[in-house]
Parts: sequence; C-alpha cells; structure tokens
Amino acid sequence: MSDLVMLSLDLPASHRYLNVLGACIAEMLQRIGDHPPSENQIYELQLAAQEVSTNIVKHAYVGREGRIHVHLSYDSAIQQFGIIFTDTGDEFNSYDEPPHELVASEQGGMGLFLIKALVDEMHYQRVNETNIWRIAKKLN
Amino acid sequence: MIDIRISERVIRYYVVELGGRLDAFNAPELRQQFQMLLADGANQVILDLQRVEFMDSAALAALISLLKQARQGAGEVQMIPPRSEAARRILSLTKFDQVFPIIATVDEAVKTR
Repeated sequence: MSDLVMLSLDLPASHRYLNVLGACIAEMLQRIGDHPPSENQIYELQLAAQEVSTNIVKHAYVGREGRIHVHLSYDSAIQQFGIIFTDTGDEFNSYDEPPHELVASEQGGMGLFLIKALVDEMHYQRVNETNIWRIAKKLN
Repeated sequence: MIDIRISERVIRYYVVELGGRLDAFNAPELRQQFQMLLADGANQVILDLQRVEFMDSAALAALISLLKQARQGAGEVQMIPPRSEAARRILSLTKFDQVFPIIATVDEAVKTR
C-alpha cells in the first residue's frame, strides 16, 4: 500500500509569486519521513518547477491575467515526487524536443533543457482548452 | 642617452556581488543594472555569486548577456561561483563554468590579468 501525500496550490500566473511554489516544495520535502531528500534534490525540483511555471507565465497568458493550478504529490512506495501544472491559457507551441546538450551561449531553450535534465519525467499535453504539464523525480 | 618610455596602465575592475534568489521576477532589474554598468564604461567585471542561493534560466540568461556585451567591448567577466553546491551544479550542467572564467577570489582576478 502506498503512502501518497498530496498538496495543491492555486497561484496567480505572475513571476512575482513563483517563489511561493519553490518554498512549498522545499517544506513538503523536508517533512517526508523515512528518506528525506538531499539539498541537491530539493533544489533540482524547485528549479524544474520554477522553469515550468515561468514558461506558463511567459507563453500561456500573454497580455492578460491567469492562474496556475499546481498539484504536488509524493508517493513513498516508489519514492517519487510529482508535480502537475494546469492552466487555461494559450497552447504551448514551443514544445520542441529540448537540446540534449546546452551550449552556455544559447539563451533560448535553456528552460526546457534544465527541466529535462533535472527530472526523470516531463510531459505536456493540451486537453479541452487546458494545458497540463507533468514532471516527476525519483528521490531514491 | 637611453631610449625609454614609461606609461601608466590602469585596469579598473567592477565587482558585482549578488545574493539571494535570482529568477524571472528580478532578472529584468538585473539586466538593467548590468546595462548601467556597461554604459558607465565597465568592461572588466567580477561576478561574485557566493551568496546566491537560487538561479533560474532567466537569471543565467542575464549573466550570459553581460558576458557577451563585455567581450564585444574587448572586456571580460569572471565569476566567483556560489557557495551552494546545488547552485554550482547548475552552472556545471549548463556549462557556464566552461564559458565564464572561474575564480575563487577577487584577488585572483587581478593576478591573472
């Protein structure tokens, strides 16, 4: 039987408040009992989440206000932390396969590259006028 | 009569100390500060990131932009990396530690020129 911990946030789609998401991720991970993650793992999840939500702010709600719903979950049976981001903004059209290697001089594509490098799973889909991003990382 | 010419060369270094969280929210202000620095004539910059706790791609892009502009003016931007191991790892992942000359102290920057 898995011990699934879930937490949800509803944030304004604004760069100003994305730090709240990072703080929630860190606090939640620090309360995982048996196998607390390392500082590096916490940072990597915070950064991946920051990059996904920055993409949403930048692309989904250009010139208008919007919300980002974030669902955090930790499954202790498989020691996996998952984050699902949903928004009702414009479809994300720049979802090309991120580069496998990044030359530091490339400014574009760095966000997607980082997400892919920092987590084990990354998926995007558009369902009924809703964008859904899902990232997951094993913490074992 | 000896043939001798004596001239003074002064290299001015600008040390930019950054700390805390650098992200998409404050990256525009960071870029603006860098533009002001370059407009002041700075082209030898030392970025001291020891107190930086978190950087995202928007912040990294601002750093790269500073480097490119400084080098276009025949200058250089050297970097003292963050104390945070996690933040340093991101610089390695993005190969920023290969693009920026990495130094341990401000004194080291002066000695290597």
